[in-house]
Amino acid sequence: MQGFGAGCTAISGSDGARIRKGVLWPKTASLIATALMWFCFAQNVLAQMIFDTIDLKVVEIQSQRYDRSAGYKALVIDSATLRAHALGSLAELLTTSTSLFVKSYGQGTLATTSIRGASAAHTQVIWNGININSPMPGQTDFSAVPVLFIDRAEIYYGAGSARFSSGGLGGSVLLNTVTDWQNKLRVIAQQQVGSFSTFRSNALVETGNQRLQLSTRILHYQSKNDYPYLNIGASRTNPPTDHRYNAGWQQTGLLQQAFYRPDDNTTLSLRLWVQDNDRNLPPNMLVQVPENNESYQQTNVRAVAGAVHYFGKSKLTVQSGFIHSLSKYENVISFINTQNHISSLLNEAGYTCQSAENLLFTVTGKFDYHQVNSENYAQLQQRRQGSLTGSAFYNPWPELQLNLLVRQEAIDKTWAPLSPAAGFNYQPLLSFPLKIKGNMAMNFHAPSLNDLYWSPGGNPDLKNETGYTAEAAVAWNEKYGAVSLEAEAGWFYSDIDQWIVWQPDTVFSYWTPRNLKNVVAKGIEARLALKAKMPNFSWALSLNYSFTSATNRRPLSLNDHSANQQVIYVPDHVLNANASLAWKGFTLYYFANYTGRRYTTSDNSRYLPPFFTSDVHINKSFLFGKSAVEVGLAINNIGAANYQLIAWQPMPLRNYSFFIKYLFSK
Amino acid sequence: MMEITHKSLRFFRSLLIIASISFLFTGCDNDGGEVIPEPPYSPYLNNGLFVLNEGNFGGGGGSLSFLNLDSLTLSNDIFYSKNQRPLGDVPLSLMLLDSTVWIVVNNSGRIEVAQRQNLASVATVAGMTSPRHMLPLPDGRAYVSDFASPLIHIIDMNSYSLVGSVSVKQSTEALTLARGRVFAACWSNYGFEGHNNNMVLVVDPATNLVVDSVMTGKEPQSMVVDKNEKLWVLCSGGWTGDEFPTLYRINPRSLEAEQIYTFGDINSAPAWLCANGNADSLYFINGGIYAMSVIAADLPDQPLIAPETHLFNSLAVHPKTSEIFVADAIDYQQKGLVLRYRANGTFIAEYRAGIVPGRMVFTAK
Repeated sequence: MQGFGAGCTAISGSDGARIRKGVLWPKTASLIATALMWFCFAQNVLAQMIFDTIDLKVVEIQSQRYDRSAGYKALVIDSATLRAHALGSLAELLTTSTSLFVKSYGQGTLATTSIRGASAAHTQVIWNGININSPMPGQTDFSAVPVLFIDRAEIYYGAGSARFSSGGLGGSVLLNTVTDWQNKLRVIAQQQVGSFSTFRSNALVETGNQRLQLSTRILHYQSKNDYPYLNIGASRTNPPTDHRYNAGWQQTGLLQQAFYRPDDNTTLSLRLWVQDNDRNLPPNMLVQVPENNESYQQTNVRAVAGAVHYFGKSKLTVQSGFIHSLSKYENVISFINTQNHISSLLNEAGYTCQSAENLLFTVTGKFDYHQVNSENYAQLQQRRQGSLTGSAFYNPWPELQLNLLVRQEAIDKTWAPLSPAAGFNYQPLLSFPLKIKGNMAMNFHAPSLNDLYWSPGGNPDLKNETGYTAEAAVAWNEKYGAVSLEAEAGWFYSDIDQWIVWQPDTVFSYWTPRNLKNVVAKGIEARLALKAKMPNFSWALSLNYSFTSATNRRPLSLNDHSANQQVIYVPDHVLNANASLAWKGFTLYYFANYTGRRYTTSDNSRYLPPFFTSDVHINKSFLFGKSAVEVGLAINNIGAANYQLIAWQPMPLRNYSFFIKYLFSK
Repeated sequence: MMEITHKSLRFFRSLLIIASISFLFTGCDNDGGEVIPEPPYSPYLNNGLFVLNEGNFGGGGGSLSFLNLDSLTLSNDIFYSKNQRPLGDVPLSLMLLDSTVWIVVNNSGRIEVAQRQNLASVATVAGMTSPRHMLPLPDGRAYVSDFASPLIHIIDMNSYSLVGSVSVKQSTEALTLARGRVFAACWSNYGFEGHNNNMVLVVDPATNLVVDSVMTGKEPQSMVVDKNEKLWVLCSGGWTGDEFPTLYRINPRSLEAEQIYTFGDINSAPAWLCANGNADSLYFINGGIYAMSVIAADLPDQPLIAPETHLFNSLAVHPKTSEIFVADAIDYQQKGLVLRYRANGTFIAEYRAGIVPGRMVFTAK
């Protein structure tokens, strides 16, 4: 784990023991009690709230005292939202519940995100402390991350990502699984049937005691994905309805976890995630190819072993991860049939010390090794990446919290730029819930191995992309009776230089990457979340809005009209609304998303128009002693918006799914 | 309890209102696709040139532009504007007949046929894998080369249909007619291991059979026939710089390579061989734009037009005025430039065409 860095994650599971001892978190014990009381009182509310135990703890435990994200922008996706998408992927989760723009070719196909106008590779994805971005393209496919394998999802924007790794010039997405040491047995089985021959089955069994917990989660999802769409490629004025073809996909996955506490001060964890993703790649609507022409298959094995040990006022974490990925890409008519083998070792050790009541130090060392054996590279390629990070949390006065961090990284014997980050939270009046936040950071992003070694085109002379970012925000968090309010509004600025762009080479005209652009992104983000839990009824409402202006400041020449124009596929406005209402076993969810204009050309001469989509889910649960059965119906894209996330790649119109879920807990 | 129920009903109601607003939002009549501005009107029979913009592979950004050389106006997206649909993915080459325009759309595997005067779609010839270039034959048929298929397709231009093929066993690129025979350049052997990428095949259009072949340098990229009916073949030398690029002058009857000009820089990739209207001068891109007489003893050392800040992507020479038109795709993601130069290489004007401007074809003959 990332020291306490991973914040609540670390605390929730493996650090549970420590919390009760109250050394590092003297005030958290009462928070847990509050959480548990909530749980006890609320038990007549909803069957699914049985499973809130973990989540409540996780959320409530986050100590104000040592808020390692103080000053940074972090968005925690709450457990209710995760549950509502328990059968979906991270791509769907982020699309419906955050203001991030997830770019995808349609359900089940490659999905990536851009945070604050940065590129997909500028988003680092960290699963239980290990960076799962593939070293080849330098990004993660969000459609291949099932929500079932996540108990907690957080997004750290800009400078906030520095805590976890370098390279998050846009931000980081943190995905974690947590353990409930009180659990004796918990079983969940879910089956979903949806439009376009989509079937999703998954199951979870978690059992153990206060010393040992075992967790097994399995899934098999598949879809023919042959959705009808209006083919505006055939006629704009009178589009025929065609069916998407060659778009089928399936995923089979296993997550096996074991957690062991030999004593109250030590937690050992072992996680194994094996997943097979098999998909056909649909052509755009202007292209006719034979069925099964293009396909991509990937098998990933990810294993992480970790240990956390407390002694005195210190905490020691050690973790080692291994990733092996085998992918096969085939394009029959283009005669491409290639395989890529990637092996990565990801090691980390961290030491945290509470040197005074108001001061916390962490030192983290990392060493990663990647080896890629790809038919797309001329030879086997390796990367060794090591870093040393020092960070401190300091709380000089109750009104002020400071976070400081500095990282020195080296990649293949070359020093990377020193990367500092600093953030503060300031609450002028402790009796008044207004906080002022701010942060600054310098960071860098190393070129991906594809950028360096792809054959032909790879450019081994590429420099690191460098970025600095700053942000200021005001936050207001308060409880009004049973209603809790979280509001935050902020402004951000980032400047990414040496931005890598693939363009045709001047001579042989195959594509090659160069450090060409300087992208300045600035914008506004605002969030309003309201939540109320009453004895027999609860509701929640959240609104996330972002405005992003990301422009290229370094044209290639006077002829280059991309100067000062919005970067392609970065929407200007994104507004997201989620609402939920739970009453007498019924839960109603409403997810709405407005995405503004996305330019498809760098001179902004063409664009995809704004679109609005909304989904409604209605669930009902029935309690039978320690068991519960929940059924639900979802209507997605209820307005049947005809939209595209990537030009000429149609998205599904209105579609439906039905699920049944069985839960048992004791 | 009543109170709560009442509240929750109110909440449900407000959700319903939000939901109905969402219907309103989607009620507006955009179709979710790329918004493409309408071009100004310009008749396409006038003195001018069609500019075929390839867009990016898989990106669907291809389009057709027309530069009117009388009014000096450039109209973009003219096929789209007339037919309310895009040309397709990677329109690569264009052939003008008396009353029709034939556009080979590479990644869409089809040929779009439109009326020449207003670009109204006449027919679509589909069923090809990766069509590249089209060569009309005197008898109303046309040959179409294909990158990913071991045959040259045969089209009946009167019925707009595929009527057969020439088995060539590998990929073909540029096509040209000389002395009654079709010359097909084997530019790539990708996907056809064991075959050559340094050869021009000779096909007899009467029998649709490969009757002979002639070896050239690696990657014969473009061909022209000069006023002396000699076949000129420009070979890039291989995309990894395998050998020195070459220009071959071939006697199309004897298939003898009469002269081989070798470029001095192995790390160059000359392309886009063109001829002027009299077919006595040749032009090509090799960084800058070079011109040479068909009777020159050596390759030119100095470019007629230096690239300066441009990255030249395609070339065409006006058949009457010998003015030189060059396209620059800039960053390949924005409207590219069409640059117009006098025959002596002095700059006249520039125009913004579509994304990745490629093939340019003049209305004048």
